[in-house]
Amino acid sequence: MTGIPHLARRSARPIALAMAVLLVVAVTWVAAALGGQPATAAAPEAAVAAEGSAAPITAPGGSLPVPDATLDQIGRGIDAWTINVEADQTDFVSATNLASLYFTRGRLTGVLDDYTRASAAIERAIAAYPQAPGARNLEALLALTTHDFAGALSIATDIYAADPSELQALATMGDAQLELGDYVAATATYDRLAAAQAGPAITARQAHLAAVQGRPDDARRLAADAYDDALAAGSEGTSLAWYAFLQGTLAFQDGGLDVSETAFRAALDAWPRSYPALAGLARTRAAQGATDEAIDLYRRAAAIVPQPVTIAALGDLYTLTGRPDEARQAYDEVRVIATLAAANRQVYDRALALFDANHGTDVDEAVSLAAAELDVRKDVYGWDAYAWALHAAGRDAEADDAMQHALALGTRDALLSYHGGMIASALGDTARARELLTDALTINPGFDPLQAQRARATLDALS
Amino acid sequence: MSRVHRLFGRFGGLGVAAIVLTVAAAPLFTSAADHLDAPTLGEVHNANDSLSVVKRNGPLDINDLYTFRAATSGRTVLAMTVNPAVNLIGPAVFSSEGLYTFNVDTTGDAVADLRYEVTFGDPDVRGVQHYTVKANGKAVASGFTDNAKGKSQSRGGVVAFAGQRSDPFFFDLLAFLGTVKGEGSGSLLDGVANDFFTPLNTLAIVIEVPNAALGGDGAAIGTWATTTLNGAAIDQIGRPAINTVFNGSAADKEAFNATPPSQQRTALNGTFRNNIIGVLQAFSALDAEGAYTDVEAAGLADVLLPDVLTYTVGSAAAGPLNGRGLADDVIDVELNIVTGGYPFPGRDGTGAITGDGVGPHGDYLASFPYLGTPH
Repeated sequence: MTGIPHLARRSARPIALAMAVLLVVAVTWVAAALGGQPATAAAPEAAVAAEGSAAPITAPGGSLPVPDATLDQIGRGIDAWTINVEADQTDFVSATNLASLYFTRGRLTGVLDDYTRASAAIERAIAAYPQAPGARNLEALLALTTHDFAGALSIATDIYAADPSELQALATMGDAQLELGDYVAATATYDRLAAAQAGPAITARQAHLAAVQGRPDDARRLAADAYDDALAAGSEGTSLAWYAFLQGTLAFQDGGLDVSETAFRAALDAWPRSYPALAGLARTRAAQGATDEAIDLYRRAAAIVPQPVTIAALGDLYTLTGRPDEARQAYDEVRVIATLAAANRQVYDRALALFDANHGTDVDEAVSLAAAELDVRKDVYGWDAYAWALHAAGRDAEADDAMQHALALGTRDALLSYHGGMIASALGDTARARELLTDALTINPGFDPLQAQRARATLDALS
Repeated sequence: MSRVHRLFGRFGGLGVAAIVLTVAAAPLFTSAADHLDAPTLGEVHNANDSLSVVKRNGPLDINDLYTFRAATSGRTVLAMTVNPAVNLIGPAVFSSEGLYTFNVDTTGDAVADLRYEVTFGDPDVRGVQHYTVKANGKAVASGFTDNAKGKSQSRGGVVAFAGQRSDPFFFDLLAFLGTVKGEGSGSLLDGVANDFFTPLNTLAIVIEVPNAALGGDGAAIGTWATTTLNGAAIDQIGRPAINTVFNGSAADKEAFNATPPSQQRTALNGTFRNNIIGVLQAFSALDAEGAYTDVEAAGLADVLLPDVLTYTVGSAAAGPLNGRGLADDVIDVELNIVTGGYPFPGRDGTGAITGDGVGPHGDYLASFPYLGTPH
């Protein structure tokens, strides 16, 4: 497998045609990823960048985000519990364990198909034992991970109502409320959780909430505490990497680039093939002006798991460095991958809406995707995506209304200030535009390679 | 926490969730960039569940104890299995801080006269550990884990093995959970049998000793296994499943694990003995012949306590009342006895539930270390 498929350059080939090829390739890639070895023979030539002069951006064959030993262990577990599940329809215990292993592998590798397998195993466990708390907790977690936040909230609420000692369900409730934008409820839930149990998993949640609520000092402190506590408690590998990743992500939002860089590097020390940390570090290095290093880091991240956001950022850096062909190839890939994922679930919809809005590729799609998301999920970044999509479509009055919601909590994030400033500028509110754009560039002068340029240019024009 | 307690604790009901969350707690990245999947809470999942303890002490969680005649004449095998589903759930290493003990009473007072104590060093990068076996404080064998040949006979003629093996236990867990615990749709009475343990591995400590060390052929001994951590009791087992089947509350189970066998009849004003009598009378009432009488139930309680695995040295094992061999169907025997199948005068030998329908595995070895190679 030599490359992730993408639409041929400058081709108006209908997406459905490309999808047919892509599905074949995606299956091959998944098989290769799960088998732990490159599926060289199976690489369809059609999928390779036939007319591109550049090397393929991604080379996922054989690239695994987690150590083979871990995947081997999970694979052995899957084989063993499958024996029991196939032998005994009533075996909800083995079915639940099987589901948890698929879920785990999905979270580790980013291979979405494992969530489908996990879901099937959960259904089977619940069919044999409808009250099974383990299976139902997993069902709620899976809903959360696949962005069915309302579903996750509903299931977790039921579990917790039936048994108030089910603290995992309480945590899932809070996580879903946070993603749905119900910050009052999320605060109450996390408070209740913290009163029942201390620990880094809970501190980290409070850090995330504090960041959204515009309490950056609290967010920084809590994120650092969570990482330190996790380390002190013996956390390592993928687990420790997550705490470092959270710290890096929150630090980047409000411009703490040194902290951000240190944290992402710590994440990579704990888990060298952490694709989110590679992408986070790339974003940070780009903001620090280390563009070549950032390109390399993004490419490494995309080679492990080709996430649309990562490839879009890579495309932006190609654009910035005068490599339009590679940029266009990357942008084409973003659309294909995101659309493929959307065929199954909504995990990439918001990323795709923002991508469309940023690049003017399909602003109507951007608005409809963002609106559909907002319909079920009214969080800060949902309003922001909707506002930015409306702005791209030239509907700035509506964009401004939406942006007010996004800024209502005072979340300190350069990207939010930038979006607000550009919308204000389009509406002719120069004072507000100047204020918000200045905020964005003060918080983090390199919050996004391309968008920061636009912010600066717009601000200059306003002066 | 004897075998069935851990079945309930780890695999039944709530326990499933903890496995799930233990496994899922580590991997923490979502596939989409716009939300941060937070860590699961792992072992703090359910405060009422003893799993946080079990997880912390998983390698000290005893599954089963076996005592049977060795393939080589004049010798006896003692084996304990610990840390269930070790190939699927956790790292396959023994505790390097805890102490694993085979206790042997040779005088009939349920007090250990001989202790085989096994300790482990830290695992190397491949997970291999050095271990030492001491008999009443004197080193008698040592070696490295997973060496299937064990250590050649050393002082006192003791051979030892420690490492991962196929779990010899067999049990239709789901039928039991469905019928006895009301969890799920499995049934002991539907004629369908499935052995939950078919694909599972366990950690095992196997020692083979000369009969002379146990008082010679014909000696009546009692054996039980204990694990301790810094001197504190973690787990204790004699016959299979006694603690779990008969002690209902978590507090009673914990107390039972920490009570020396010689005090089990009388400790806590006879709580454990009363628990056994109560459970026997409740379950034997399922039998068409009616419940055991007070005298019958008390008589059985005094057989089951102290909870040691009684064995006549040199005889063929017939668990759970005379040692326990790997293939002995102790679950069938105990289900039958508990549900009214003990042949007191006026009763037949058939209880309301005579078994779970599953039988021994086919992978036991004819010679040391007897437990099958890992899956």
